[in-house]
Amino acid sequence: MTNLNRHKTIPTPIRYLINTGLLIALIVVGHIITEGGLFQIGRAQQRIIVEIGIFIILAVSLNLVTGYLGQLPLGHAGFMAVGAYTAGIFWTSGFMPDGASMVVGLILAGIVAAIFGIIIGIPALRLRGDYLAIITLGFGEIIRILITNLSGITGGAQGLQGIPRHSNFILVYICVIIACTLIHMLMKSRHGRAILSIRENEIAAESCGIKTTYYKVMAFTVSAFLAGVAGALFAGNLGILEPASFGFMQSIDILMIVVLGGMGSMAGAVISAAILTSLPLFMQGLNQYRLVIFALMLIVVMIFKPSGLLGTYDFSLSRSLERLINRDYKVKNFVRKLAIPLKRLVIPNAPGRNFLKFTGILYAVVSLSIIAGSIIGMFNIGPLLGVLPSRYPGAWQFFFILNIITGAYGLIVGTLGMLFRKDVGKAKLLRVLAILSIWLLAFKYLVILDGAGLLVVLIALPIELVLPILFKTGAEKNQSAHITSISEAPGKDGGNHGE
Amino acid sequence: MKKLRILCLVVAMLMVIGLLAGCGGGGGGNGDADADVITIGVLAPLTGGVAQFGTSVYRGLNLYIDQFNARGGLQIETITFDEEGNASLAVTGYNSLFDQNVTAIIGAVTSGPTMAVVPFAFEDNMPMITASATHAGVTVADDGTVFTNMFRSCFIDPFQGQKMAEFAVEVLEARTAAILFSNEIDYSIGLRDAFEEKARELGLEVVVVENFPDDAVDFRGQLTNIAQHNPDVLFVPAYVRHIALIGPQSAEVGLEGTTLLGADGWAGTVAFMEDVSSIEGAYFLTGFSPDVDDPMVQQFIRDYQARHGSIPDMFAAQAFDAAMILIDAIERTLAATDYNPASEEFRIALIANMARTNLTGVTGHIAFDEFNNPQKTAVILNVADGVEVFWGYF
Amino acid sequence: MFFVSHLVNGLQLGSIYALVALGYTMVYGIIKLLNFAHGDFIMVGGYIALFSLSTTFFGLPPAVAVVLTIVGCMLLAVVVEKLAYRPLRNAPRISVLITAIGVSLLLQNLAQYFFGATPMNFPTHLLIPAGGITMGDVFVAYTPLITIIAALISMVILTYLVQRTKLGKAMRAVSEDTEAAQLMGINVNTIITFTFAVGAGLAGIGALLYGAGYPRIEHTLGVMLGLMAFVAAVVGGIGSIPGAMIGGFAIGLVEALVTALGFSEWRIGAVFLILIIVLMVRPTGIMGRSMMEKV
Repeated sequence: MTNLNRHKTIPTPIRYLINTGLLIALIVVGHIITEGGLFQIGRAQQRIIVEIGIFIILAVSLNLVTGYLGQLPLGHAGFMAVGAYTAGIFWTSGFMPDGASMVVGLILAGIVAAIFGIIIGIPALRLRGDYLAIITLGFGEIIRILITNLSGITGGAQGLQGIPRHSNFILVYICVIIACTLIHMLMKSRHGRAILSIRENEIAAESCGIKTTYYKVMAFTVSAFLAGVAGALFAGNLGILEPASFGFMQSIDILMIVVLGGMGSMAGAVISAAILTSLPLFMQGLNQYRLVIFALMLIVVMIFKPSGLLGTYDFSLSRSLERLINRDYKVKNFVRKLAIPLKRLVIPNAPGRNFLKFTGILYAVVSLSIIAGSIIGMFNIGPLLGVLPSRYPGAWQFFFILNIITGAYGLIVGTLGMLFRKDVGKAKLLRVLAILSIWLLAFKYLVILDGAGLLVVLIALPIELVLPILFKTGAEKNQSAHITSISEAPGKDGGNHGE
Repeated sequence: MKKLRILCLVVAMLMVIGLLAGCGGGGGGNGDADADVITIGVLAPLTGGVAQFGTSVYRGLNLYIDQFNARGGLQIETITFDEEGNASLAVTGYNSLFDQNVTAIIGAVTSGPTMAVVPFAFEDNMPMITASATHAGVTVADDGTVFTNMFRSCFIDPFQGQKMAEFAVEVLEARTAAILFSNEIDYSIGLRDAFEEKARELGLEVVVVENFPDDAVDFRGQLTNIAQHNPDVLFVPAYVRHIALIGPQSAEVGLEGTTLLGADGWAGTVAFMEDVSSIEGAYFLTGFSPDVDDPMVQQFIRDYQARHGSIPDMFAAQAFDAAMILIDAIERTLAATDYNPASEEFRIALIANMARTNLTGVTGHIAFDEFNNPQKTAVILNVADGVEVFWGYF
Repeated sequence: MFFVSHLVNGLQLGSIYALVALGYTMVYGIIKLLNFAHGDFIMVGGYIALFSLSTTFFGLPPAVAVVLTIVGCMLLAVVVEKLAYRPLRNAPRISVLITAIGVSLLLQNLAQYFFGATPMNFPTHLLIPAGGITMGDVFVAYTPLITIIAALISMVILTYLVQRTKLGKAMRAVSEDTEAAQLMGINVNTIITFTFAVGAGLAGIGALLYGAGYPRIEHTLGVMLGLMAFVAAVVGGIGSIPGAMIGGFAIGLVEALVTALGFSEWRIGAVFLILIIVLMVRPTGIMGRSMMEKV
């Protein structure tokens, strides 16, 4: 008799205990960090934790509608604005004594935003995906215009000042916990399943008796409520408000957080919010390229992994502990999972045809731009275009020449890679050489810390690391070069599976 | 193949190490006891919607600092934080600069981010000077407290609006006026309010007020409405990028009889526009004029043009002066005290010395009043024969 | 007299919206994609036109500049289609929309990186002579006049292309039913690329006229323009070519009307309000056909 059911599960009450314990631990640590004491981190880092909290709430609330419901509203910043101004006006009017007014203000902000959510949601959610996007964008803009023009109440373009700074770590943390718990519980409930079913197939859900309009509006309203609360916290963090902070770009910023984190993954949204909010602080030198890179990443992620980087994966501490207890992990498996991308990186295992074409084009374009940049720098064409820096001291001429040479090398390799992609043997070799060229270029540029070179690194590096993981060529099934070239089924662009 | 694999792995690892090392860059200002180097923070939007102003400010102040450093002796280092015109990010930037022990901060550029940062800087006794935030609330809070640590090298909104109304009445003898402003730009709103109030006082009748959103390109509707009333003067407190369109469009709808009036946002319009005929005859107020016959101003213009290939605008000139004011005060503080420049005592002394500023920059003579706003002489420029002509002081 | 002035304003604005809206509608009709980046194609076209015309840069004769702009826009559209949209031909709608947003952001930020954040002045009178015509006591400058005429001519040519040529027939076939068109032997990919190109070509013309009428070129040029034109396309009936033209002029006139009445700060708000009303009352737009969604 074999051992049946050796799988140990953690009983539910203990799960709750574990989670609560984790939360308490985090709040204690967080409090110590932000109020100074144990770790000597700078003030900027302390304050940014509060901001991260605000954006976590925003991301998680948008994720509810985007990831779980499957719609694409582009006016999330509008709800944030409504909440922020409601709280701001309430708090500056001095209606209530400080302690109580803080909480009341938050709740009021959420409710007003939720009301807007219902007003906007009911008409808007009757429409299909594309129209919903535009109409919510329109509503977001209308809200911003309203705020600008009703300057008597909102201060208009000159801003609303003097908002008391209520948002400290504890408050924001509690709000984050409440927001995440709320959404988690919602999704685990009957309502949550209805929402998920709408995402999967709306017509089928409707025919099963699920009131789609009701659930859509509900999800939208909850999302608006939380966005309003986040807006209020935002007002309490900054102290002043101006309508320019809540434009279309802010909605796009939040959308980027959700998309890059994984639509349908709360853990993804949290991690993504944390990283993207703190990026401007930690990568100041590269701010110019940040937006270009994000835009590129958005496109690349959508092409190769449309459900976002973390997809629909959701982290559960209890589940991980369970696996640990049951020894349901094999070190070998774990290492292999890590090693595959690394191996693919270094050994070109049967690159898919289109993958090579893509990489070839990429190298060619990048090399061309390096050459162009070097020529501009070398011959001081910068001032002609009026935008590039015009001061490149003499020593740099040497580097420019080096750039042009390595750029030409990369160009040749890239082009050959594109041309020879059908000859697997040559393709392998060329791919290695191409990788080498990019790495060498990048390494050299890091020494100089030059802008164009950093751009190369930041584009090439993540793509190189990420593409092999995301690219589902036949390489996973077998390592032989010959077999994999047949493994591509006709009609599919090698590896382009939507999630 | 194996050797290749190893080689590639080695290169890959070098790359990762190099990247990690590279990422740490961008900071590291060390305001230590070395009194020969002082670190100043810069808060400016170098990307984002208002990046053009941030870029001008950045260029202006760096021109001064580089020239100052080239003279030897005290060296000024800058740490720049790009706040993208975003108030929230500006506060983060302020905190980041504070963590890096800067002695003072030049910034921000637009009023919103500046007003967000000032309360924090006030608590920290961090001296700040802005080259372009013109909202009155930047140095004085709503409840009347003066932010003694905050200075500016630019006019404040009410001043310019009043001056232009006076100019219209006293010099141009106008009796009717129209205003075309943007209700999305706080600068524009401030000037409009001041102009209207002063006009009412002086008996100048404001017959029509039209406005436009910040990103507007079509003003013909508003201009047509204005043309219907045929006012003597039309006050347009907006920026170069708006004037470049308003000018030609006003000619198209038949506003030739009306004199155009502007404020310091117009500085650089003539250089920007390819065809200046439509704003011929206009008058505008500025603190800075490329035509002032002053050797320092002309030298500044030459140096700026040599570096960046274009004539400096008001933002660059005011930033140049802001840097000048700050460094002048720093030098006086260094001479008078021997505190560590990164310490709070030094900053407090620096604030006191900044309040005592009395110098002449490229935008004129500068001294601060009790609200830390500069008392500057206004220069009126007239667009005549396609160039900016210095009309006089007012 | 002032009424005519406002009318001309509205028509000038409307012409440009109509040209841009045509691009949106054609692409949507054929692959059901809202190309968010369409406005940014115009921005790029604007920069190409500026660099070609302006004597500070290349100072080419206007005819060459016109050709360059149109061809440049077409090329850009084809490249974007091949790299960003084609891989997502069968992907869920939300992914395609997000990709389009990504392309739009990318173009804007690349433009800012290369050309700087400072707007540049477009040399209108190198393209269209100054002055205008006077009829009675009404003065109409050449710029709005040529804008309206050029737009109308373009639309006539487009309608001819779509209704009377074989290529146009193929375009209509693909937008009706892609699989059936494929069965009929139409190379769908080529037609789609061609549609993108034509839409972008119209955008190129729009860029020239935009630069002439509103001579300020900056990297955020495409944002509002694209949005307004999109509203125009939807209001007119997305997927319908005459609809886009009507929608474009309608939105342009609405904006002019609202400004004329003195509510210029509510201009954008009014346009979106109309969008919302139209989407509520008649989602397929003025000229649109009702599309049943099948299981």
